[in-house]
Amino acid sequence: MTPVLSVRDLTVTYPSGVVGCVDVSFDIFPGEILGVVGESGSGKTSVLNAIALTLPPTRGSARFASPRLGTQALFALNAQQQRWLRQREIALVHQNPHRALNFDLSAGANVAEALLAADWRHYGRIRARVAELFERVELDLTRMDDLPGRFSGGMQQRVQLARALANSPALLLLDEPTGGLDVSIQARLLDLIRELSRGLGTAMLLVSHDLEVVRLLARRTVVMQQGRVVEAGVTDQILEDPQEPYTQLLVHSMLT
Amino acid sequence: MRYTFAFLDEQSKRSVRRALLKAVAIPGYQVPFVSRELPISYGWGTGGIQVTCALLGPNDIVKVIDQGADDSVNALNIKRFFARTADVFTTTLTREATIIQTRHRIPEECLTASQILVLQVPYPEPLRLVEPRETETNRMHAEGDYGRMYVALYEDIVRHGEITLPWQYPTLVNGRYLMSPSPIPRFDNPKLHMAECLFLFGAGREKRVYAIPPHTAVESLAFDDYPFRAESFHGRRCERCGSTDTYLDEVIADVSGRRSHQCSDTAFCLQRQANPAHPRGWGHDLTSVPRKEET
Amino acid sequence: MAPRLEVHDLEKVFTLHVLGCKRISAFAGVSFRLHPGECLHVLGPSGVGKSSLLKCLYRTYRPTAGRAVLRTGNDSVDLASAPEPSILALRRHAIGYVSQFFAAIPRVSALSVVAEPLLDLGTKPPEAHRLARAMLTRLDIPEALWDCYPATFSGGERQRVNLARALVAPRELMLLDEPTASLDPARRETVLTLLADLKRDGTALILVVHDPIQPTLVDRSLLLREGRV
Repeated sequence: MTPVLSVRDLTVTYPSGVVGCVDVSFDIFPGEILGVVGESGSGKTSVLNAIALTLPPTRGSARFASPRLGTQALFALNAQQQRWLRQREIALVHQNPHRALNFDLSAGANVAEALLAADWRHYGRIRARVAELFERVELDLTRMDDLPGRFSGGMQQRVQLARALANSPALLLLDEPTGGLDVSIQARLLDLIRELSRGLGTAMLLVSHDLEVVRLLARRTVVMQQGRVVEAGVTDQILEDPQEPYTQLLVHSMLT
Repeated sequence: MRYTFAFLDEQSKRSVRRALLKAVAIPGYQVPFVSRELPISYGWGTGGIQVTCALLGPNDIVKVIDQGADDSVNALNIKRFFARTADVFTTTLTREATIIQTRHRIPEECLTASQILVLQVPYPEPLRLVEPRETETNRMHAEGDYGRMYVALYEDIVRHGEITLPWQYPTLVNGRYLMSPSPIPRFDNPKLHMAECLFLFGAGREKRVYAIPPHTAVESLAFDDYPFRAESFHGRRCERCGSTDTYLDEVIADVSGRRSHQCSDTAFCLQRQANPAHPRGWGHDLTSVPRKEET
Repeated sequence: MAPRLEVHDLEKVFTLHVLGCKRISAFAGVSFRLHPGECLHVLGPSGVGKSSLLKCLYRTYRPTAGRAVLRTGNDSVDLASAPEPSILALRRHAIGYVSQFFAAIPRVSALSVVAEPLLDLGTKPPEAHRLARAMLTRLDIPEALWDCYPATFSGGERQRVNLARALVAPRELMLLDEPTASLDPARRETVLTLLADLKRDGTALILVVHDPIQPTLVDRSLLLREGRV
């Protein structure tokens, strides 16, 4: 099976000299959720941002199987091509909805923005698609025209999800999607993400510091520390038979 | 007091003309230029004046209107400025003018291939409505990434059932650049499309010029199912000439507070008073489309 | 007939870095052959490595040495060293695992839990749910519980849902670690009958149980002693 995304030797060094990640390699296959686990400074966010094409890597390659354009070498594309992919085929859900949503526009307009960026020009059809997406992420349709500031944190994340899924991306990137949310809200959001993975077959890269989240959602996991991949494997193996010292430390630090 | 012809020195005029040539070569694209000092503050038409000064020759005939009127204080001041510094003839008759400088209106009467319309622009950047950062609007223009402008229109329809932007209605020029047509009412937008004349836009404070050359496609932004509609004045006519197809100003007619309507384009109104059948003459259909609730 | 599973000198040693690289041997030198329709009973004292052996075959544990070659159709794969995507594919299609611990995904109904392996195989939801219901019925889970969350069930009920999930889709190799631990004798019988059915269908079984079981179910035994066969 061909991976949706093949990352090789990804290295990101920030202009200040700080190293984000070094020689990171992994594959994501169609329909699967790959977990990337690490603590602060592990490099997982650099990896995510490089794949999301918001941060240029210093070195490395990423082959993406675009459903509309065929195989693409992500980092070799120009800014316009990358934006095209970012708007249609590789979607990012931020940890903090304030960074991702425009709080001066209605929730529906935020989702519509993704469609309008993909050249949708029929208002009626845009509304219908936004409504469909709202239903998919279990948001109340009657709130489509409300401002995001009137939504709870969990609902704001659902709006982000709706927008990310608007153009049926081949790859969904999730950056600590449940960070800062109440436990019960977290649980429902994770359930939704799992449902979406099963229902839509979208490949997902899930970045989290929380092994519990990864256990719940990801069948395969990559563990990062200080910018490098320390261990990779089937998630239950990582949790029950961690091989590397750091992985063992991480697993044994879990509360349960 | 003797002035150089049309106030600006030749180098300055040449530099403005160079910017204008570039603007004409890239329809709708905002070309930066170095705005000169004029005996008038920024915000009062310095951009338009610099464009006109750069183009004036001794045989030009200049018309200046402000909100359609030849006789407003601003229009008269600017017209007098040109008359004194360039010693050119001025006129109020649209068809006589070779250069027409305007604020907030395009004349009702069709312009010809030998005429130039110079529009005064306070805010040249159409994307400023949705994006405050210059770096970002530059990128959006470079990449043709105008989705966010459409988001504003979407939201307008959500809130009001239709697109309600009254003026400065964004247009896509030559299928490429998003352009603000300056604060002309949306009623005038269709006149920009495939016209015979040259449109030049000058923004002195923002230091930009842009242009629409003749026979250029200019499309006002809309949705497939919410097409562009100009304002309609259904049921109302100009009190002076009886026209029902011009842009009307609503005025308080007398001391009692009674409201009436008059053609905004005073010169055209006079033409129609003399001859009610005087045509507007633009090549394509400019008739207003009725508003949704009225159909 | 070629064996379904051939295990050569399989070994598992845990290295606990957090305890100063302490090494603990789970088992070593395990070799056997298993044919389709055969049931291997793994015996031995408590803590001897029986569960670890099964987990190594399922790749929940990573074997430290040896091979475990699984033959499915025309393919053979060494479970000990295969890349993760292959292992995940095998878990979907070919290898099943059930232990006495129900690792339930929370907030998923019993019916959905049991239907999941079928949906993973691409079975259409109506058919998957029909088979799931049939299996739940077979294992005596009352209809009233089908839409409830297994976390709220009794131990025995949870285990039967666990079993239903493991047994609902056809498998080439089934790994069972104390599958009937919390069941009463009657229900234990039901499970054993189900396992007999699997054998008839050609599934190879590896079974770890403490209770005495029918000799007819077991074809061979493997005795582990202090980590060695």
